[in-house]
Amino acid sequence: MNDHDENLLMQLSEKWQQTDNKKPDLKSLKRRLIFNRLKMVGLSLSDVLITAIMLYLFYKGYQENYSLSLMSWIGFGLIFGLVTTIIGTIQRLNAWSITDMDTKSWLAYEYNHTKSQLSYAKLLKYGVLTFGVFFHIWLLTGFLFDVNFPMGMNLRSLFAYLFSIGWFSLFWWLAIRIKRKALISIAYLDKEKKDFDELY
Amino acid sequence: MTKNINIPEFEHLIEQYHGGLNRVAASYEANPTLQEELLQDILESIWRSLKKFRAEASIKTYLYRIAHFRGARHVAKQVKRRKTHSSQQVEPVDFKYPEQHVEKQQQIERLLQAIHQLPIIQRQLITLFLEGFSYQEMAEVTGLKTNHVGVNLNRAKTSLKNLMELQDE
Repeated sequence: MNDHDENLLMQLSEKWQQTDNKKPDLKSLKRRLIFNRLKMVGLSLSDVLITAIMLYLFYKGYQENYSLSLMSWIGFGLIFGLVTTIIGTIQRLNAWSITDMDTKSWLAYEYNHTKSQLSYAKLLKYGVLTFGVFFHIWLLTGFLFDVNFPMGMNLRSLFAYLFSIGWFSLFWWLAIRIKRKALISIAYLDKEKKDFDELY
Repeated sequence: MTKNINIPEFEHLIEQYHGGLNRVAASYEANPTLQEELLQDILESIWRSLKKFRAEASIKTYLYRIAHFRGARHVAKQVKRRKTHSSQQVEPVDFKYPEQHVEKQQQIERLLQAIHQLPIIQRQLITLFLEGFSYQEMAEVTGLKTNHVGVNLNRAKTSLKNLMELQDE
């Protein structure tokens, strides 16, 4: 860069700083904040409702003496949770290489991402998602093996599917916690941890 | 800056830095709709983060730091959608000097197009340079050491110059 180029950049900088005289759209921001708050209230209420239903079903399942099908679905839940976590990490590693983000920015992004994943609302979301996947596998299996629905749908298998959500969610939550610990144990990120906490 | 910032204080702060934050958003996203969305994300993050501001750095670098973190996250999220539109942000034309205004606008659009092609860290540094930040302030925003800021900024300037020359050809 010679002096001429530096001068041109300085001129561009002046023009750059003069652009955008728009007024900030604070009304949209307020609407957004209110909506987010309502969403969180809604999610919390649905959390309470779903937890109550799960507890009730657990009690009923206990009375029904379920065992085998539950174990197989727990296994599925664990594998699915593991695969999801691995695929997610690979995807973000790929995103990192494409964006040419520096290591520190990427670690900060990952740290905050895992931190946000630990929220209860996300836990519920992934739990419901897993339930959806299992439910469709179950329906498909029933279709392929010519099981007569709804006769094939007994209470015991329903408990098993529901409990697989809980097991998957717990495993997934633990996996994320371990990953977060691993991230903050990287020396310089640990040093900066309080800064990241401050930012998010 | 106190921990409990009230709404008028926040509005005043945003009005003061809105232009710069909007330009940061523009440097990360070319699509005007997504750009507006990103700006709103930045403002929301600022609102939530101000409670945690410890006043160890200046409020200016703090706000830009949040904006750049948000921008980097936005790019990481949008990376699968590589087809971003060319910059279409249209400012109201200044009727007193329409020709000069259009020329200036075109220059800024060319500049933005070149910035969008830079790697993230160079993009961050060049935007901060254009905003008139010192090396020390850039280091505070990006978390780089001051000498690394100098090296990376020089690379960014050279890349920017080459990209803008390519546009002229």
